[in-house]
Amino acid sequence: MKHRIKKEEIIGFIFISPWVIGFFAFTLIPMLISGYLSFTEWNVLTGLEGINFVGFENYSEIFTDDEDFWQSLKVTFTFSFIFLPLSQVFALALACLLNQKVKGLKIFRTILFMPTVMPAVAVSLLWMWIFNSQYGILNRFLAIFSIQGPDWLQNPKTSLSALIIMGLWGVGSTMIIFLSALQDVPSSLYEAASIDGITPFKRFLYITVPMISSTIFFNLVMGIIGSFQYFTQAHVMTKGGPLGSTLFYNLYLYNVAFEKYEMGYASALAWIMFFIIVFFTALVFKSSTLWVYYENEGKSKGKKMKGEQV
Amino acid sequence: MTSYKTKKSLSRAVVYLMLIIAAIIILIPFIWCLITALKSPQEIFTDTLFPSKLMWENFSIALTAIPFIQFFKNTMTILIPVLIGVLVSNSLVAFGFARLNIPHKNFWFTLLIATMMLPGQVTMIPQFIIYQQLGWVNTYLPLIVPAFFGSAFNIFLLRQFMMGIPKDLDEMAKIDGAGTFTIYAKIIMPLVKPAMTAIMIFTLTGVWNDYQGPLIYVSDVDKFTMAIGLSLFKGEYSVEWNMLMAATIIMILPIIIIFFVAQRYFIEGITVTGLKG
Amino acid sequence: MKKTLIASLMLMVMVMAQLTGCSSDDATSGEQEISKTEDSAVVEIRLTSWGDFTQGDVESLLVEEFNSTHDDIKISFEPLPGDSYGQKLAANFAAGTACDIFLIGEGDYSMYHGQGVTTNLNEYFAKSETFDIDAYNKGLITMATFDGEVHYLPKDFNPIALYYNKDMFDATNLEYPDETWTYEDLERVAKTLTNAEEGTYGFYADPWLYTTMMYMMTNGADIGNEDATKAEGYVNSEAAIDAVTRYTNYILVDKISPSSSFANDLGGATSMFQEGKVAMFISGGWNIGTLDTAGANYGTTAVPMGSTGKHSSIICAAGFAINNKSEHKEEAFEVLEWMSGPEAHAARSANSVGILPAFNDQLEAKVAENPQVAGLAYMMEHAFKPVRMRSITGQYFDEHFNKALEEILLAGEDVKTALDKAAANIDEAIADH
Repeated sequence: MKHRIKKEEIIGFIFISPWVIGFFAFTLIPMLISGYLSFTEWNVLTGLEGINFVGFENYSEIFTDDEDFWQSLKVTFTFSFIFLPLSQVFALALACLLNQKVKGLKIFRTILFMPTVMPAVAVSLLWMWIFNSQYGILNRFLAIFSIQGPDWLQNPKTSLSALIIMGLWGVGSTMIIFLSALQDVPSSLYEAASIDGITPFKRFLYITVPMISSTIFFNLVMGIIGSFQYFTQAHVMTKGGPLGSTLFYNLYLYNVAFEKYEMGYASALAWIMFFIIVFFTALVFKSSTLWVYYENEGKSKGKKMKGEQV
Repeated sequence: MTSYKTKKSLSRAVVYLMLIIAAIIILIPFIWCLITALKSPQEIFTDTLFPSKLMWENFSIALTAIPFIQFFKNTMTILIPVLIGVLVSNSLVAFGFARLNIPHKNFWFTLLIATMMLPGQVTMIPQFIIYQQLGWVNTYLPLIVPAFFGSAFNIFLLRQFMMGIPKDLDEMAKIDGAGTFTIYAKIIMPLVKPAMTAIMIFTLTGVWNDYQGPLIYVSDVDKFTMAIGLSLFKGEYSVEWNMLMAATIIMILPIIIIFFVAQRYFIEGITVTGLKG
Repeated sequence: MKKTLIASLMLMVMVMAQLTGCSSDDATSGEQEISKTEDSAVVEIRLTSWGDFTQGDVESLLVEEFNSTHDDIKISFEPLPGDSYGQKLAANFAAGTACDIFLIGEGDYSMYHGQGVTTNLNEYFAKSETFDIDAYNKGLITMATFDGEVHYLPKDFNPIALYYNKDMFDATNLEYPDETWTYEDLERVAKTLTNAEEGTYGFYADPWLYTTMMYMMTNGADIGNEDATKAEGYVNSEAAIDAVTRYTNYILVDKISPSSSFANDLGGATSMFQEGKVAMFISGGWNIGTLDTAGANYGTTAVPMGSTGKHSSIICAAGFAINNKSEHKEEAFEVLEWMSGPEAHAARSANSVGILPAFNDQLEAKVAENPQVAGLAYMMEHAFKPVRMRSITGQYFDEHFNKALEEILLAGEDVKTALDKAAANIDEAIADH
């Protein structure tokens, strides 16, 4: 008996070995190095000889003497806590719409996915142009209704909202993942429910949502990881301005790393963000036992069997 | 009977209406992109909405201003091996996590997710140093080889989908004498086609538009990819808006077409109608 | 259980061995030799810069010509798009694989020098029979000199001058600006040319660091001391507060200048100028090409003088430096001499009106042929080193002064408060350095 289990385990490990090897070869060492660097002061221009060990100095400076650190946390949190729920709901809503049998479905799906296909830099430049307060299409559109649009990207009060709007335009990939999940829900379940005469809303809540909960979980976790590391758009469009209103954490990190060339301090910043993301992701993981349902867990929805993984 | 029918067609009409509104809103930036691409440089920052003369030649200028053909070849040189690597590696690993007994599985899985949480800016230089030691700098190897070892995003996604497939199917196959690999290949893989298609499309878009990767590892101009070529229109002192928009449209067109065509692998829709008798 | 643990450990060890085993011996040097057999091996010099690298561009042609005329040295040209240049340079320096010659913008001259990555070129000047340092415009050499050592040779540069829209002046029968102008003259004329109804302005008071600092300097204020070690008493001196107040008032109070948000929306200062929305603006030579193509009717002249009665200007430039760790500095200098030499400058200048050559005789000739660049050439003689270029701590001045300007213009902050805060922050950053 014991021998058989061992063989299973070896087979299992072989299946995940590509990733494990890749992890040790390409990922672990850079992560460890950056961890070490966070305890050093290192201007990269000086090359490898210029690395100075300074202990916790970086961390203490970050927490006690760095205005930009707190500003960037504020910006990143504000953005994430607004954008995350909005984008998930919006993506799911669109996916549901695309899950219907209507004419021209292929065209609709393609159109709604198109924003994801554009390179991030091109999207940023295009939307900079859209948000142009004199000639951009958004304010011209608002002018039709006699509304004077704000100076979206150059007004500290509206800059984050502008980025959120732009972000919602690009939920295509999240939407596609939801769509794939919706496709996997067996129609037999819906048929059985409609015989009982169930309302569409109840059907959505009690059948659809549980059946795609493992995907909601995925999108939520990836959403957290993604929005906390938001960077490219802010880097191209606003460079953190005006008045630091779009100084996202990763943008601040980038400036420290590649404009000041202080890789030690930047590494410390990176690891702080790492633990922040770990914290929030862990919350989602822990809560998932209450609401994520995996088909192969048996009939007891939401109940975890002993030893079963998350 | 009639009320049910009208109810259905009413709800369908509502869905249709919402789809149209959503599609129009999403399309507007693209239309604006196209309009800008057809303008002459003087018309861009003026009150005129539409170009007086449709400058279709902007597209041909964009195509010739940079060595698009060479860059396209380069992008494909990276893309095709990556697609193969992604296809093979991620599904194997995801299957392992979803279905198999692995010592300390939770530990490895947590590690997998954790690798996505460290901002890439600080691993970039250590990674660069490692690749430089391996002699892979100025080649496409740093961009291709990792694809054969799985990526956390893809593995996580596939694992979620695989865990949604009833284990009973596995059991039945085992009774019929199927080994682990057969279960993976004949039972599970066909059932995650929509997710695999999504992953392939994401990978395609990712490599196609990857700017940072080739930039850091490649030194020779003739090895540059299309994504780097696109950045040339963002000049030193000012942006050539019309050319940039034209080049962007050229770049996204192939992927849109591929997506449109690949849709039937999404639409398939699995009807897991329960277990066969 | 145990077996798989051992298996995975072995795997780890294998991979590590592979990695360390592969670490080659050419660890830190920045160049590779093409032929290893003979003693007279061809030396490869790696050169990097940013800019346009499409086929047939000037830099590639210069490289090709050098390679075709030299058997013993070959240039390997590795250009990059501008916005990622710094990032890739950083990666290469960190890994010890930086190029032998790299291009740097003037704002970073002191930083790279301060970190010890550039080479003192003086000894190579002496060794070369053909090199003549006096043939270069003096201002360009001064800005590249640190403690008597020259570390950079100019590739191209942009002096800053006053541009004026001749059509708008003609329409109101006003006389064109010239080198005798003071800012009082400018204010007077700008008021006349500003028409709120039509949305036109007389002058664009760009809150760009350089134009602001030039305004301050010509009014007797500076944002830091000579070696960029002290901000208190400089950036918040009476003269400085006064100058910044008057300059920002052009936008906020007098309304003879549009805000920078407005300018950005119109595609930038040049675009605004072309459209006839602003009659005068201060900027660098990079506008000449665009303006000429658009057929604008304009001229350039000296930036007006302030209370000091003297002209003050800053030169934007990009220069080549030799990597201090290069193993082939002699050969690198030969390449450097070529890429910054008279032929190179002539070739770049011939390409575009707005690109000025660094050689005195060539510059004179260019001005004679193209009167619209007269103002730019004039300002070359009155350049001062902005604080950022004085030492490695100069970067803190820029950072906090910029923030102060933003607060004044966007948040309505009081000038003295903002500048006092900047002074405190700058001095603190210097102390921590």
